[in-house]
Amino acid sequence: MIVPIALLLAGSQPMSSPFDDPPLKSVQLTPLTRGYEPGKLLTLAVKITLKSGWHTYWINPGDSGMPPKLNWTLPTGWRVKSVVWPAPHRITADGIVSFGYEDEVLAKAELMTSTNPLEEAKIGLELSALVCQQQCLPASTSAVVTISATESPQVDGEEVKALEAVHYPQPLKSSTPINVQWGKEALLSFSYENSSATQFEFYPSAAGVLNHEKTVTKTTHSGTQWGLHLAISSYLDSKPKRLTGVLVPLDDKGKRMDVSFLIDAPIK
Amino acid sequence: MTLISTMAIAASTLVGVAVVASQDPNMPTDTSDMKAQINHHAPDFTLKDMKGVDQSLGQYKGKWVVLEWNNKDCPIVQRHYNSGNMQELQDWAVKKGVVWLTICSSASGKQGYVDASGAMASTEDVKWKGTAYLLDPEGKVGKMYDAKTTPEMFVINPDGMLIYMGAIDDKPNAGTNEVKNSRNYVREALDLAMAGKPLKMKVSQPYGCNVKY
Repeated sequence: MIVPIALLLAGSQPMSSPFDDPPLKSVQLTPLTRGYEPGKLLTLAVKITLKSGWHTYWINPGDSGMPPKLNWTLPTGWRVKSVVWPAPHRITADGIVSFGYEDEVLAKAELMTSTNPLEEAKIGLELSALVCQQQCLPASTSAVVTISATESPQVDGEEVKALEAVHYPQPLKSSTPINVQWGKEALLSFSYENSSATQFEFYPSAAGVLNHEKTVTKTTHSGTQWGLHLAISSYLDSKPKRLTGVLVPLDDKGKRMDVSFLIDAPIK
Repeated sequence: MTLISTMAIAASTLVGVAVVASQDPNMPTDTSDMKAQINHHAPDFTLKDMKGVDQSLGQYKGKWVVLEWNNKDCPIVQRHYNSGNMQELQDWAVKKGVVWLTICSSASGKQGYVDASGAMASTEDVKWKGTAYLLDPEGKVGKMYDAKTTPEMFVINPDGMLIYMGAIDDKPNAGTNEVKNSRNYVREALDLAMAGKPLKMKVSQPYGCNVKY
């Protein structure tokens, strides 16, 4: 049965902050389609808005901070397939390097829906995060959206455009195997053909693997073959089996290019 | 007179920090430039505690020592104090003869900074159960130990060797009610090391607020 499409974006409810003007302003959930197809993936934009000048953290927060915690409330039979974050930025405070986002971040969530068509599927998200400027505050906020089952969901062009503008990390199409040699440093080798890149940033997705303060110590290349020397964390207990993270190419002015790549490579 | 001893005399007139040479012949003579490293001698230091008493690491040779970096206003620190987790751990350790030194490296004017009376008030407020609360507003000892977050924990054995450094536990984003269900690395390190067993976890990435140097 095709039911009327009802879409309700509820305002988020900032909680647990002593501030009248809380630094974690809101989280908004916006489906990319009007209606969802039962049993198929549903993509939502998750927009976190902070007060200007405040920052929050990536899944690996770096040398301080806390990863965001997302508690979803989903209809029976639904599950979260993935939450994809944009490449983080390096944020230095009191000489300590963290990985995160200033002012706002737009993440992308993919939910696997159940085959049971719902007239009003209610999706709830509670976000708990540490937000910092000169000081750090715990904050939480929530959002609820309802969406209806339909046989042919219509795409919300504005939201799709907003997510396309983010340039989420993509798998790197390297013509040579991506691998990591482990010694005093880690040497990440890959090929990359965009001639505008002169150096790279690397963000390890797990804490305690690489040195966050000075991650890339040296970059070498010969033609399109690149080697990144990565400093190993003093908190590393034993050699990991794989290195995962996000690679961000920089142009000749040191500016981030509009792409980033997911790295998941075996360590030799 | 060496620079170090001059510094020690100059600093001894201040409520604050004095980084001094160790008097122990088994320890390096000048540890002021040393950085803490796992399985190495923990660098010695002397700081005033909140009661105005000099506290040096060297004076506790022969004892187990825990260093806890603190910022009373950091929400992650508050999670461990509001849940009673930190005080319980302090109480448990101190009763086993462990010396528990809580250190505040927040600079004056920054989050968590306390002077002696502020430290007295805040420790009373949370029913802190450590051995001494040390004031490091210049961040010298914090930087010597490369402390990056609050909380951040170090465990030193009776030989003065640093045997654990890093996070308090394995749950960076636990809620206050979940804290006690975490794997507490400090309790585990003390339990194993005091029983003469090898540690399962010697280092871990600390988490929390950045130290407000």
